[in-house]
Amino acid sequence: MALASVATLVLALAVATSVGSVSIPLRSIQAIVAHHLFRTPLDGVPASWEAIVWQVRLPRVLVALLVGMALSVGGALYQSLLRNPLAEPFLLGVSGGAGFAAVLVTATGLTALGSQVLPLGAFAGALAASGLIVALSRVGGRLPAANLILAGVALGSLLSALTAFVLIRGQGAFETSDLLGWLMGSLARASWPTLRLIAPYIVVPLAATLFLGRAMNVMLLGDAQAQHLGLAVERIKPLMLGLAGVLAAASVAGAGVVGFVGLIVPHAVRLTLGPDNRLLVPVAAVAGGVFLVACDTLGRVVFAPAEVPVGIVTALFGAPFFLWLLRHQRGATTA
Amino acid sequence: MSVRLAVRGLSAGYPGRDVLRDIDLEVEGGEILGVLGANGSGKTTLLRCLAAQLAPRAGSVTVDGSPLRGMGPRQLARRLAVVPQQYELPAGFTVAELVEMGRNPYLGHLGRATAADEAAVEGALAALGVAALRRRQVQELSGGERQMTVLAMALAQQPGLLLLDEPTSHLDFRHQTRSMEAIRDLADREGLAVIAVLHDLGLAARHCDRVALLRSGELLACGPPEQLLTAALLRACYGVTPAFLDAAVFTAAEPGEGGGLRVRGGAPAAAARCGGRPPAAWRRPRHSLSREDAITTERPQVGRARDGRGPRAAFTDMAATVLAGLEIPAIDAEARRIARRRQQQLLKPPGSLGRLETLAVELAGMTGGDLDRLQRVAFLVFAADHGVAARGVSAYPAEVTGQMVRSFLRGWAAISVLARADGADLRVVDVGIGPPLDALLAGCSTEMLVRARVRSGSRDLTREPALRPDEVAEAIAVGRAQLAAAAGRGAGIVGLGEMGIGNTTAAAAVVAAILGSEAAAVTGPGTGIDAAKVAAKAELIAAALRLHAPDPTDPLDVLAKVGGLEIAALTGAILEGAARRILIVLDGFITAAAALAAVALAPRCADYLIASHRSPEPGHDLALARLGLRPLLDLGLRLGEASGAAVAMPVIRAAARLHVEMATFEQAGVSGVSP
Repeated sequence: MALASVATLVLALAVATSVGSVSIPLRSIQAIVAHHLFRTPLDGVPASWEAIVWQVRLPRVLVALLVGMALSVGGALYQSLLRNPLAEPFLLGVSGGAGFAAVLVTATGLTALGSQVLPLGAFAGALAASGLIVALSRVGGRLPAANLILAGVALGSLLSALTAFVLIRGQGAFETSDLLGWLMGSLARASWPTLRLIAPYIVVPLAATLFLGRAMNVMLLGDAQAQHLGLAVERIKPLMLGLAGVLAAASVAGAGVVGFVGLIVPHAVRLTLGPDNRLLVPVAAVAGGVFLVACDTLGRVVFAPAEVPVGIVTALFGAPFFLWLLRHQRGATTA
Repeated sequence: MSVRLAVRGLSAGYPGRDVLRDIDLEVEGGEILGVLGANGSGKTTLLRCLAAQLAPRAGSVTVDGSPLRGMGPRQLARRLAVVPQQYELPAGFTVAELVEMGRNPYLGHLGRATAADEAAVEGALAALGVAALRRRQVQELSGGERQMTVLAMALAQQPGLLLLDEPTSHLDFRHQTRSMEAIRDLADREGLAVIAVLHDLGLAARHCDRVALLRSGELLACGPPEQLLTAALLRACYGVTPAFLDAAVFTAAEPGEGGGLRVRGGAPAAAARCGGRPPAAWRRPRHSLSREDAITTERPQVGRARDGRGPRAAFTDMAATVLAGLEIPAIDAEARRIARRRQQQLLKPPGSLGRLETLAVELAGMTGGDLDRLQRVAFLVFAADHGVAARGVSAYPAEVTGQMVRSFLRGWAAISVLARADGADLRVVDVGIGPPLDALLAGCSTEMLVRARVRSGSRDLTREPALRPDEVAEAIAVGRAQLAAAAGRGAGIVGLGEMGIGNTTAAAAVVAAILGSEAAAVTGPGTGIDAAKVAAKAELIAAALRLHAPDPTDPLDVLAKVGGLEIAALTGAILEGAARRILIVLDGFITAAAALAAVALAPRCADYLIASHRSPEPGHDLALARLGLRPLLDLGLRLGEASGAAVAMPVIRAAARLHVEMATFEQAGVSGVSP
């Protein structure tokens, strides 16, 4: 299982780096990567290929991988934390907060200060919104799931309204096309600095979540029962919320608001392998990463040289696949 | 390793609202404490305090002397498991995966299960009989199976203390009984202490060692159910007079019943039976109402039409006559407790003697601790003919009844051999064999024969009532007299059996009438007829039930219309045995039918019954379930004649002997379980 996952992952990365407006053979990719990592000579590989692979495709593919992992593991965390099948990483105001912050930094011209201002602002806005929602949902030291969901939806609507307001008022006053692509979810801006910015906030929470599978299972029984089974619910819950919030904020910073992945990938894994989070978390991480890499590659290739934002591709290809899986699964169990 | 939970001066509540005031309670391993009280009386709040979910305002809760509040969640979960009233089981998980979640307090962060964890999961699955469901997913389970899964999850925690909040409220009668029996077994075998909030007084009476009555947040009383579940005290607790108590006093010996309660007879004899020990265990003297109050305030109403739900016996003048002078004592709860404790001290791992341990505890309760009496065994076989035998319901002709009786007397039949081997006192009672016996018995010793003919065979129940009411009463009197005579000869335990061609037909009709089940569900091959004949037999029974429409609440009416002489006699023997604290070992299906009638007449006699074996007759399981009995053996016996009772007798005596004669760890100087 683990071997198959790693193999799929490497294959997806290699193929995604290889295809595009220029097709680059795997052997050359290998040589380019080896050159940058181990200083081996770069014989017979055109310099333009080196630039495409190293400066453009590789960072983009890696950002896609990390964002896909973050989204699907974040979704799994929220789904077991809130015991709600509709839970997804952007439920708790993350998209609203990130979007509003992104619009603000663009409208105020702060983006001119550097390419990382927009992702940093989005990251900060997302975390601030999640934190606010958790604080608002707190009742007597407890965090009821229903409160979290309702506060998330309410604050999310407020922030979307504010975002739309600023966008409409600012039409013509500042460049919005970049922003719109980002709001829909796009990896077009992904670069090494983006990867460096988000990697720690994704890798560390992902690693931590691998140790929470057991607790995530027990949380599905409800707070009271989880407590009876020896889980320190009121400590685990903020921890899970924090991890999920950081994952969501980092993914927004990396690729904007990529919907659907965080909702669907954990469910797809659940339908095929069962709901045990000890297995679900690692598999969903790999599946989410591969899925987003694949979708982004499709988005780059199908209408090349034009690009379709990855958020559109995930829904366009992911939804029919998921619906097929749902039908297939249901037929299999009730037969 | 027996745990002890102590609650001292506990007061608790929610902001702006006091709920519990000054509660004192104690529970120890092996004990089931039922918590009863009206809605809002504080039962759930009490449970939340015991589960350390709610901090008390005053007082303490300690487990084995250490305070609950100081324990970390994992430590707490290893000592105490909670089965809440409502629970969610996440879809997609299998039963085995869920039960493994019960191991949460023992698992590391990666959640890898060790061999010990797997053993605990398997043990829990097996204990609740859900091992076969292990691969089934939650959404495919029935309500009962879900409940068993939740209980198994709690058991996988290997707690010393189990807290249950209305554990059976969503279950049908079968699962109620099964889960309470499983809990009882665990308490007995593993020394688990159980606290269960219950709404069903019948379950509380049947399965709890003690009950605590809560009223408006105060402990009204705490003690054995047979002392506390009286009309007066229940009215004090719930604020209304329970409708089912209008005729007399509720009895603790109520047999497993689908939520309904049995009424003790309204006959004059009932008042005499209500007497007993004074209520010593009541904690608050200002509430103390004497048992006499309970009786005098509740005037018996003879023959009152029933209005409550669930079957209850309608008592008639005839019932009063049949039950005259009968006083059935309550099970000796103290002897049970002592026996349970002794079982845990005996020189063996607790539970290693399996059902022999629980059986010994039951025997102690029945005999009041005097297990030596069980070494004196008698068998009573009642024989009579049935007019219905002429309808082809049996593989043998009617004259076989008399011929078999001759074989009993000559020592050739199965029961003769088994009784001889046991050194037991065997009597064969002619309650109504068709042809006169004298010609048949020429040259044969009649020392073991008792002549007590009521009439020459029961009438053909497919055409007319099998017996007149006075004939039923007479046959019951024969049974009572023969049991009394056996007691006079020194018997401490009596195996009951019958001989009567055609009597599985009558027994099936009786069982179907009393249980309200379909005739086809309780009809079987009897002596060995083929499937087509079984179907015909079921149809005859169904037709007879339609024709006579016996009143299911009046066992005497049932016995008269579709019963038989030997069945009525068996009913009498059971009643008399229970009144004399003589243990009754039931044989198979026909004795179970008689027991159903006896228990409907006097619920407490169920406590003195032992089911020897499981008969292949399909109605037997249903009858035993209603009686709340689990058969000791399952050997496919279907002979009758008390042969099954005789085969089980050495097992019962072995349980008694082991209990009395084995040494304890202390006596033997052997180290017990390491702490």
